[in-house]
Amino acid sequence: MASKVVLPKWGMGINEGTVLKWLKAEGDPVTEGEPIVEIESAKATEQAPATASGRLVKILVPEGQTVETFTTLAVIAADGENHADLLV
Amino acid sequence: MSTVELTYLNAILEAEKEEMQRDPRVILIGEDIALYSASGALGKLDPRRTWNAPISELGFSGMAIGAAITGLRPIVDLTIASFVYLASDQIINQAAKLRYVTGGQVRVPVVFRMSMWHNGANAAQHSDRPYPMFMNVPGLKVIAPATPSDMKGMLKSAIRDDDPVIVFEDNDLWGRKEAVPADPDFLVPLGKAAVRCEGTDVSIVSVAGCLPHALAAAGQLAREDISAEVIDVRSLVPLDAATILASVAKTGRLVVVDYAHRTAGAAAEIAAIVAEEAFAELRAPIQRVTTPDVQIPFSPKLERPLYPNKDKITAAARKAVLSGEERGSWPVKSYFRSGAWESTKARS
Amino acid sequence: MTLQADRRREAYRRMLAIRAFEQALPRCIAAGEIPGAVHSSIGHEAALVGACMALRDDDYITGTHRSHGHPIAKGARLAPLMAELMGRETGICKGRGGSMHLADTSVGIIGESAIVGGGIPLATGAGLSALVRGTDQVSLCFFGDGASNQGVFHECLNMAAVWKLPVVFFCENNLYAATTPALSTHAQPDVAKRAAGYDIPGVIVDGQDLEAVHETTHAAVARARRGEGPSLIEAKTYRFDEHAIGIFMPSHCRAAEEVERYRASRDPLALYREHLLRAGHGDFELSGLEREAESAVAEAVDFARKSPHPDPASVFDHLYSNPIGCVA
Repeated sequence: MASKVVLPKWGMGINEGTVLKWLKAEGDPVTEGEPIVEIESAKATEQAPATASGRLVKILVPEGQTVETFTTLAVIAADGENHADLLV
Repeated sequence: MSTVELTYLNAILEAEKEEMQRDPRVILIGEDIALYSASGALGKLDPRRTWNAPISELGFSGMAIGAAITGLRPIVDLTIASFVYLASDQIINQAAKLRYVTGGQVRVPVVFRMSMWHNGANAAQHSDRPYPMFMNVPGLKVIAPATPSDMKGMLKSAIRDDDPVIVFEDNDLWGRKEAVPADPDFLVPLGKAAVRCEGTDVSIVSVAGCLPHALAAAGQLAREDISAEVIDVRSLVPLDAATILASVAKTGRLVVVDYAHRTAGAAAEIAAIVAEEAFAELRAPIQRVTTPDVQIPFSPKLERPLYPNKDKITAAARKAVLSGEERGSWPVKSYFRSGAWESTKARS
Repeated sequence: MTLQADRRREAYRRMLAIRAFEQALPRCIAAGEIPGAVHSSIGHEAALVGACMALRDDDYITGTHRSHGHPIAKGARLAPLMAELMGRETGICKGRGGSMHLADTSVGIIGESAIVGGGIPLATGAGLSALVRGTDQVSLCFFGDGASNQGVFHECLNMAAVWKLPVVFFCENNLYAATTPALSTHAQPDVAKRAAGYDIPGVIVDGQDLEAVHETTHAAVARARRGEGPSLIEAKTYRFDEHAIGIFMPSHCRAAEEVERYRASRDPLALYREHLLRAGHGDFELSGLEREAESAVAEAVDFARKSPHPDPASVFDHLYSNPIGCVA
């Protein structure tokens, strides 16, 4: 099932983070739990995992951009699956 | 001047580390601070310099005051600002008053640090911005730096100050980065506001972490051909009224932006000072952009809209500018300028 | 450890000074010379002086709203204390503190708190400070039975015990918190038993017996100085006067017979006078000390009366060490 990857809230008081590096490119296959993006928050740099297995169909936040926690960073979907509702 | 890129959060740690390395009288006391000391983030220190305290905010805050009177310069880490209420008896009844009630026999060089965790779905008991309450206590100094450089320089000034200083951090700013002077004697004085961007049509006075929103609003206003001056007050007690009044004298319009609740907040005090001291300069009514008088809800959908933001500040500034223009000039100014006020005063 | 002859004389001198000082006040109040309420230490003299005689000059104490006895017991000069009660510029606190705040830092007092229990963390912090600075100073905290019901009392006993701080917690248990009997507000009558919760010594001592108080405090101070941590001492004492002069507080909370019994048979000065006579001090010597105390207090009253009132323009002085407006 198609799934969003959001900027995680790694601690109380952490309200935003910066995408440092995408470890996967759009179109790459990913496995649930596999690290796909490196994120820097005020307290630490950590990797966020894929939330589902499938293909990384869309990256919404480019490297270097700072966004609030729970902002959608990317969408993962199975081949041929409709994921349009996750892009809004 | 050499600089180093620091986040707002790391600026706090750097300031503490430098002052603890510089002055053996500086100690740190608070809950969970063993995390810092064990990580080596404060440098190599005698174990007696850091006190990982039990959940006893009133007790260890009072102990810091007792230690301050007897020769140390403690930093109390109260973590979340809502916890300061537990410690407030000692801060208000002892730290703020001891020098005065002893007729100057003691000094109370203690720093109380706390972070305002609003805007993070932490609900009513973890989201307070309580600086106005402490502005109402003579004897305390109250600061709320909004940039990494100010945080480092003002926290260091606070640690070196001989009076109790409360340092309010804004956790929304933790991740903000900038080049911060690396000089260990880099200090930003308490009691000086900073003009962050110059303008001629409206003065936007920003309190604590409202600064990024105020600057964003100034950018938006510039696109609308409204020239906004943004003042970051930085220090609430002492408050740099002179810088604010000078700006209002230039622009004739004031918007005050403040994260605290509206009633008797920092914005109310700043507005009152300007109304008292610069009424004749005003070309429009003063606008306050504050958090309304309601508890902070858990749901982000409820919480987020409560706080000052770019759009609210922009709207307030537009209102100030347009209300002045619609009436040509707000009547007050012409009333004062015409000398009518002087003749009224002479009669009464 | 019993006191040597010269120290016994000094102890009696300080007790007499407290008594004479307090006894001079009603006349000054009646004459309109002392504004505000006054809390008398009469009845507590042996507890206060016995404890302070176990301390060095550089040891710290904190006191309470019943603040006149602590500085005198620690050896303070009387004239600035009396001038403070009259709100004069020459007062120890320059007319900013008054009766509930007679702190004289020159004898090691770091605060007299009119917030009940407020001095407990200050004293505990002074102990922590001594430890950090590597001195062997001890901090002694005076507080009442009422303060032992404040949460901060428990917080500080715990922290002092966890960190083995050189602190002596000294309870002046006079059996009443203002008008409320301690027996009606304490789950059990002995404050000292609360020490068990923090695994530190808790000792009850007769607060009307100066030598007993001194001996008990001396042991606690020695333990603290050796780095073995805090102790809790409970001196069972009694205040001979009402809670305060100058505020309306009905006096029927204590049975007249109870007050009379303490005054007649448990007066710490009378008890110590008998002790001194038994120890070989002559009546002539003791009468001389008694006359000296009276004249010292009379001189203090005279000094206070002749002292100027503070200049109203100076009201902001001493609010800040680095005054606002000329901060770094």
